[in-house]
This record gives sequence, structure tokens and C-alpha cells, in this order.
Amino acid sequence: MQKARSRPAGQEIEQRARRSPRRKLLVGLGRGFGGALIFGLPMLMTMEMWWLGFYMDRFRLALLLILNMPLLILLSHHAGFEETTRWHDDLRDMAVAYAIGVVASAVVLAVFGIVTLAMSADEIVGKVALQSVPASIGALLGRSQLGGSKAEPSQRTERVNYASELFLMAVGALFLSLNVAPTEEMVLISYKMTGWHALALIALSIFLMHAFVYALEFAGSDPSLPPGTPWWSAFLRFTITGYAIAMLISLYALWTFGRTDDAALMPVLMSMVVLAFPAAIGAAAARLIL
Amino acid sequence: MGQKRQRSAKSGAAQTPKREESRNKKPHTLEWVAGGLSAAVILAMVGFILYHALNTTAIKPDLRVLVEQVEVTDDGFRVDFRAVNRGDATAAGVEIEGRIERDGETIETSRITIDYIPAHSRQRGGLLFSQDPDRYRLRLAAKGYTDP
Repeated sequence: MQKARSRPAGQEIEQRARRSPRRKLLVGLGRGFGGALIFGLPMLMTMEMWWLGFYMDRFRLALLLILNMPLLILLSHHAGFEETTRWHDDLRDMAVAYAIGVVASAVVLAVFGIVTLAMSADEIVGKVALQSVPASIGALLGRSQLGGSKAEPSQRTERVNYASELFLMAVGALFLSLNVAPTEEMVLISYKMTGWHALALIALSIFLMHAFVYALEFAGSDPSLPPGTPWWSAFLRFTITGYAIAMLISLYALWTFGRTDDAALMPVLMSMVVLAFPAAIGAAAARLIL
Repeated sequence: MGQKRQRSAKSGAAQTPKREESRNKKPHTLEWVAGGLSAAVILAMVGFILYHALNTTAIKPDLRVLVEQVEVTDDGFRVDFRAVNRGDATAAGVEIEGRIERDGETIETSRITIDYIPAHSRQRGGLLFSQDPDRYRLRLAAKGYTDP
């Protein structure tokens, strides 16, 4: 419903913007900064994220920054600043979104007094670089969320379509898990839980994910789930796969933030299950929202 | 039944022609492979957690502190240690105390509190002394903890 209302408005802005290239660029950049702030602020205002900026393993930080590039390119392909047909358009959108993420993070951290000139270059770069990852994803999504166009799974072939559905789920999972993974509460919750609690949480996560998949099926907006699809088919192909993706993304986020270091398998699994809960919701919701 | 009719009516109106084309196709084999693999991974994890849940008897931490090395710093000595928890429960706020003893008498004490030591895991840390721990007797011990 909401989309139906916002879409004509977005198209109208688009049409006006098309008339002057400079205006079009400014509208696009504005949406990018808006998206970067909406998605980045929760993390910009989390103290664990500031600390991670200077103490986290530099190799893992570099890996996160590098992996963010193909992620942004693929995301741009699905929901970029404009309709992209050629790969170098996606490449340009990636660079612009990344730059917006860096600038937005640097400005906000400087205004908060968290980044000052008295700090070492390593600390400043680390803090800004870490925050630029969620902010740049926000900048790219800003276009689809604020501009009224929707991230669509690729329509080319069945196999590509399924892969891009999984990709959108991974982005949703990454988004919600990045929000909470750096906080101490993630590990604290896992320490308070027993194995039985963890099993209950897995069941709850999968149940809620399937509720989202069912909602999507009900809305009929998904070509992979035509009416009359047996429940177990959608369950195995989307819910279970989505939950596995949420778990892997959670594990990656925990490893990136050093939460798995020197811990035995069981505590790692427990914190993974805890983080997979928001990640699963993010993954399932991504297909509805993005 | 009512649900089904509503669903198809709603989706019929919302579909673009291009999407309509792909809806009659059967799911690709890849989708079943991905689903099957995911199910296997999740079942393995559930099995592992279930095994642990069934076999956890003593739910108390079992703490031990081991000296890794002693190094000379600018204004004293640093003792690097490893606090190991061999129990099935996580210990929070673990207080580690290091004492240097000369002929059974404590001449220096240093303390540090570790936030968490998860079950079957370890945490590293350092204690600072002004006396050389290698010349006397060094004792490291965990003094207490709380449940998280």
C-alpha cells in the first residue's frame, strides 16, 4: 500500500530531475546521505563500534572493507542510484556510495567529538573506515527506500533469480546483525542462555522467518512462490536456506569483531544463535522491504 | 480455500507480464540443493547443542590461571597470563590476583578483573609489578567470579 503511494511521487521527482543533470545528481546525493544516516546512526552512536575502530584486527577490518565493494556493486545492480544496465555504472555507484559513507561517518564522528585531530591517524582511519561500511550500504539503499523504487531480484533466469533472492536475504541479515554484533549484550545474552534456550531460539527464529516467507507468498509478489506451492517447498527453499545464510553472516560478523577469539565451539555456537535471531528477521524482512 | 482464492486474485493483479512468465516454472534443482545443504548444517548445529544440553552436569566454572611469560618493561615487569575456564559455565567479573612472595611473605600484589571467561575458553591479560617476579616466588590465582 505504502509503495503504491510513494512510487508515483518518486517517479515525479525522477521526471523533474531528469530535466537538469545537476539537480538529478544533487537529489541522488541527498538521498544517499539520508540513507547513510538512517542506517548508520545506530552504529555511529554505539561505543563498542568506536572501540572496535582502533582495537579490531587490521586484517579483518581490511577484509570487511574489501568485501563491502562486491556487496555494494551487487546491491547497486539490484537497487542503485539509477537503473543500471552496464557493470561500470554499478562500479561508479559503488564508489559514490562508499564515498558518501566515509564522508557521513567522518562528519558525524567529528561532530560527536569521537574523532579528534589529537588522535593517531590509525585510530581516526579505523573508526571512520569501520563506520563507512554500514553507512555506505545505507547510502545505496537510500535510493530505493527514499526514492520509491524497489530492489528487485534479477529477472534474467530462474537460477539468477534465486541467487539474487538469497543475496537480498544476506544483505538484510548483514544489516541487522551488524547493528547489534559489536555490542557486549550479544555475548552476555548467550552466556545467560542454556542449550535448551538456544534450541528454543532456533525454533523461534525459523518460525518467524517462515511467517515472513508466508506473508510474501500471501502478497503474491514473488515469482518463486506461485500460489499453490506446498508449504514444505517454500520452507526448504527459502526459510531454511535463509536461516543458514543468517547463521553464516552472524558467524562472519562475530569473527570480524573478534567475538570468537579464544572461545570454545559451544560459546561460539551460542552467540551465533543469538545473533542469528535478528539476522534471520533481517533476512526475511529484506525480501519484503528492500 | 478462501485464503487461496484471495491470494491468487491479489497476485494476478499485481504481476507484470514478465513475472507472469516465470511463475509456471518449476523450482531449479539448485534451489533444492541449497535447501538440503542448509537443512543439514542447521540439523548438525541443533544436534551439537542438544548433545551439550543433555550432557552438561556440573554447571560451574572451573578457573585456572597460567603464567605465559615475564617481560621487563620501562618501569617494572609485566607478567602475561592466560586465565582458562574448563567448566561448563561462563564466569563473569573474574578477579585475578598476582602476588610476589619472598620467604613466604607477600611483598607486592597486583589485581585485574576480567569481564567474561566463557565455558571451555580462555582470556589473556597482563599484571604489572615493580619487583622482578623471576627473583622471588610468583603466585597467580583467580579470587572470585559471578554468574553472568
